[in-house]
Amino acid sequence: MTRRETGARQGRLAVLGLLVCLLVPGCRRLPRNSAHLVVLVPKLLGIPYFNAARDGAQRAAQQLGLQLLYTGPTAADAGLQVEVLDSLLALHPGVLAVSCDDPNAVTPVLRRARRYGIHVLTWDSNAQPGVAEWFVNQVDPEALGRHVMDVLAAEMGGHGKFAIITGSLTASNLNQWLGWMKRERAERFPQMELVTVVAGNDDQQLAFVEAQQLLQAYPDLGGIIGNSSAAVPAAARAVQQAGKAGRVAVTGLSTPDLMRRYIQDGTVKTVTLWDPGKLGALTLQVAAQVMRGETPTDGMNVPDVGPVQVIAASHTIIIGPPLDFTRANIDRYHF
Amino acid sequence: MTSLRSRPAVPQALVVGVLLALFCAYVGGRSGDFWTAANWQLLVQPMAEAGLVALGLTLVLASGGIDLSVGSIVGLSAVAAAWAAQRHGSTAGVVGVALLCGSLCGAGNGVLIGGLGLSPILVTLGTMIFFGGLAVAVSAGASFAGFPDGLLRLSDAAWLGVPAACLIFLALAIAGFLVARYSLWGRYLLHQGQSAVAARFSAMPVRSSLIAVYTAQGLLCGLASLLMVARLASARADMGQTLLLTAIAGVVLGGTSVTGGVASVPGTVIGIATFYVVGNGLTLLGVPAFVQTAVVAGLLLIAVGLANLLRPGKVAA
Repeated sequence: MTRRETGARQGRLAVLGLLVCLLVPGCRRLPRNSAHLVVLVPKLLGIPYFNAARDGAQRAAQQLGLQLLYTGPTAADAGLQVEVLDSLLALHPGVLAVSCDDPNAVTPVLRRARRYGIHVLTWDSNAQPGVAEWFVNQVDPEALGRHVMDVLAAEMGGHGKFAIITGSLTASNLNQWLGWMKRERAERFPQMELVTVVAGNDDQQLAFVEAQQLLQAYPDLGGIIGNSSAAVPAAARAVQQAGKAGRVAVTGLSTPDLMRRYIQDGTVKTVTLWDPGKLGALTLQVAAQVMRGETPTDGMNVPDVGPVQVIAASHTIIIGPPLDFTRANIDRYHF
Repeated sequence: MTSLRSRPAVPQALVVGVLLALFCAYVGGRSGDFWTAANWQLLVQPMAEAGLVALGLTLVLASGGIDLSVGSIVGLSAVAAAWAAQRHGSTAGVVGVALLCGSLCGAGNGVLIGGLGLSPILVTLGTMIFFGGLAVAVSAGASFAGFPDGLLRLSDAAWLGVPAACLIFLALAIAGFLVARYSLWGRYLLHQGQSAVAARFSAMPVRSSLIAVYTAQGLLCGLASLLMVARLASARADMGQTLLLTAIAGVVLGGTSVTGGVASVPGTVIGIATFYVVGNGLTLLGVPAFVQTAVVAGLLLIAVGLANLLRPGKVAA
């Protein structure tokens, strides 16, 4: 037998082996058209923020006796998210709950889902108004944007130059908060000057480089707002390395886990967010309600979440006011 | 025992096709939702978009080049379409502007690569950043949604249940196959890919064929952007970003050589289909998304390895 034939035989064996590997587990069929299936789709998988939301949703699903499928795109990309949603429609879940990467791009697929008789919720980041039955929102964007600006202004004494590091320039919720920060500055803090807005693309390394460049380019910079969870720790690290802790105020929207060391060593005094675990839990509770055909009511007390604000006109449910993490309370939160 | 007649080469596309068929049989057996018309109608639409980009890349790679700017051209064409929609509102105008924008971007690449003889990877790396930056600058990073209904209906249009996007892709795939196999232009590109020096000294119109192939690539990107705009009912600067790697992987999976000289258009169709069908099937099976990426990457390695193993004249160790 020649070596060539040996090679060919190995090849055929490999094909046969693959065939067996593929067909053996093929006996068990998946359940179809599960009315108790809730699909929860984040903007992207694998970041602590959405992981915390998933954990909250999982606990709620267990209590409610619902089956939860948590899946989504592996990168924050609207096209990828729509592809995942397209595939999920074939599962006919009872409820499809989506944190929309781009409100316009997901709208056609969500409309289609409703035509197929699937209940559609949005959470964390909305689609176009009127597409979802309910939008489960963390906090009012206006309250949040204004609050972050107020925190920075208080730390800077109401005057001086500051910069904003945002996530991606195309994220709708970030741009909304950014708009309210700018408006709050224009209305209440005329002596503060926003020198620039740069994008860190939700990447801590990139945001760190951007923060270093900001400190170089504006030696008299008095403060930095991080408008994405990766941007605040990156800014804090850059300020600390430049030896400017205490002279450059850092604040913004980030998670306790990412900010713990900077809060504890005093580089950062306050960082703001909400509890994504509650967001996930509330989404599941609302999902259970819409499947039962009930309408959420303003002030209803939700298990593990508390009383929530329901705005019937805009079909929005809001968890509550923004949550500030400081040295006093940060040890109580882990996400 | 040896035979004198050597066994014909097993094309890589065939290996991939067989693996894909096995995968479909497996998923179809486990999930009752896989072989439904609704699932396939949704599945083939994004596939057609990536497929159009991959068709162009098949010819570009065969000519020994590469186009890294495809994703940015798709994004810029989509933004151009949005710009036109804001001003005219007519479907034909929007379509024309997007196709023109794509072609111009492609022609720019072609002139730099074919005309000035610059390195394809360097030129398109530069234009990738340039076109992408221009798209973000023009659109200010915002997503635009006010497209004319005529364009949006494209995503619901179908013939015998097959979505229009898929038909456009298949028609152009047949055209691409004929161009690569029978046209003089296809010959020139393949010869250029095999040996740039020999092609130049044999008095082939190397410059014009290269300018033409990058322009065609740009045009296909413009068309892909329109299908995407119709499907997503919106345009955004970064909407083509994930297409580049998927398209290159699909082309290579189908057996087109990355070093030039070999083009397999049917292989590209199978290669692109593999990525979308496997992604869809694994989602229906509830496989976690990060495992999916690993499975798809593993499939690529298995296909390339198997095709290498089954190739006559190659000795497996």
